[in-house]
Amino acid sequence: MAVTVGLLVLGAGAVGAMRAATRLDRLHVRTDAAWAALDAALCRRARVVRGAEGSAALRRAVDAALLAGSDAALRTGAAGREEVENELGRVLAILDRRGLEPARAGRLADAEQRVVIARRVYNDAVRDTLALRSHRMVRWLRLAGTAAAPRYFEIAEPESSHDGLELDGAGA
Amino acid sequence: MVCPYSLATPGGVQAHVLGLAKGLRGLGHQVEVLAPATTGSSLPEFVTPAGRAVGVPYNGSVAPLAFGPVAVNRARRWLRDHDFDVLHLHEPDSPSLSLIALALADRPVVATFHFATVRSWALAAAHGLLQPTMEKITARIAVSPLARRVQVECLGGDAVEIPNGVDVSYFARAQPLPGYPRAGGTVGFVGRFGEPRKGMPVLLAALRRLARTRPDLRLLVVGHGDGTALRRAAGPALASRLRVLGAVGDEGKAAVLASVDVLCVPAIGGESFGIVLSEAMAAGTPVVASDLDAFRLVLDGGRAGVLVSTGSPAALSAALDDLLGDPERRVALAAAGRRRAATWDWPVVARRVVQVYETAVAADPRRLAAGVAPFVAAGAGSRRYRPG
Repeated sequence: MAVTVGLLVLGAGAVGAMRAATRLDRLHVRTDAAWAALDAALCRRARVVRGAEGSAALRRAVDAALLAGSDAALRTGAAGREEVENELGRVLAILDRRGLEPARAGRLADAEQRVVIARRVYNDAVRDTLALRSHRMVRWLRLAGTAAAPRYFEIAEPESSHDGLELDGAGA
Repeated sequence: MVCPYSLATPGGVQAHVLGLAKGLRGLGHQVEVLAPATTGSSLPEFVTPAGRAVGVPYNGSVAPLAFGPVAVNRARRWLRDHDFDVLHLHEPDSPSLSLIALALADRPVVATFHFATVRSWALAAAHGLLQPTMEKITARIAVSPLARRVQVECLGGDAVEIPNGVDVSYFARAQPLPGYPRAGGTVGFVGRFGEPRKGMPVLLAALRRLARTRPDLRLLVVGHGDGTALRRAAGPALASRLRVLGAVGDEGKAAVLASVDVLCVPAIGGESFGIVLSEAMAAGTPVVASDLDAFRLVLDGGRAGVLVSTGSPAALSAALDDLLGDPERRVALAAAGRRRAATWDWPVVARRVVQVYETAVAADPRRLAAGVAPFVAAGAGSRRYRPG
């Protein structure tokens, strides 16, 4: 009798562990795919900036070394990337867009909006992954294996992302 | 797109889904909508009915949801019949078609969250059970900073803010009802006037005060509710000043907005956005509304409309009195409202939604597995989507 109950409990535990492992696997894949999309969006923003070399206003504002730095960070990976992308974002935030021709300004705004969206998508994937990894069962059974825990991508967002609806005081 | 609420019942989410679908089609995308509805009701051709809806008390009102074996079958068939690039679900954490579609989904999912109130305890308790399904969502959209905050604080996700759209030209070119605008002043109310949180009792109390100094003032009421009960609640003094048109549909609503001097939205809570405010602004009708967070955001902190203390008949009557006696201010507010509403025109909002679709497609794990480079949009209109 006790053996039967014991086996049932073990069986249920095994099923639970398998489900968690499958979920975790799916989440790691989701996070990788989301990073690919974020990477693409950041690259696109950098390309639009670089492509605007004809614009004197943008040339003045964006340091050539900064762009070279973002190229290097692309090769080295996520760690240096946040810093470089943040710096680019900071420069773009204080840029006076009236000096740009409308089509270019439009492409830049579009690229920035896509970075915001891609970052949300990526951070959501990271959050779900970290949440599951912190479950007791996942930790004890080391279901995450040797996969490194994903990190949030933290960069400042342009104010225009609020689309005219701003909470007074603290941003959302 | 999946709409969780029956299209036969008017509501913000339903209007949003249909408006967005039309906006996306206007941009050249192929859109299909699945929603509770019975076959035979007059629906746009891109809507697939998914069975009858049952009224479920939810979020302060009764939500017409469809949830059960029939709904599951219809959803499964609909997903199988169409090869969607993106599945766009509205309110997928409610026990509805959206949740069913989410459970069945096998492609990128974009979820839009409309509400800013924290959900029922039942859902909170089911959070653990729902979590594996919610992990299938690729990208989230919230219609306001408030709705987004609920995501971040209570539901473990972040969201892109894209406001509710409005069909600007539809409301801007609507003709007033015969006999309107009329001297003496007309105040409008649009909404479910029998529902306490919509604030009709506050408006009635405010009008009782105003009636003394403005004998020709009238209240024009549009929306679902019991007109007889409303007249009873108004009392003999006010009942003669009420004109209750009832549920008149979009055309009637647009005509009423074009007819009144001021739209009053005295809601006392539970609002995430306030679509009727944006509709009035598109129509060029000045708005007086309660100082709820959502309305404050929509009315740009009081620059595009008048905000009054929530639940205060005294404040409301004072504000209405001021505005009715100041035609220049009404003109200025109408202009500010129109400018603001232009940023919410459906083509503008639909383009922002397409940006989210494109990001969701770029973040599709199947694309990664197939070794395809992430999709990077070359520009607006460069790719036609099949959102469902």
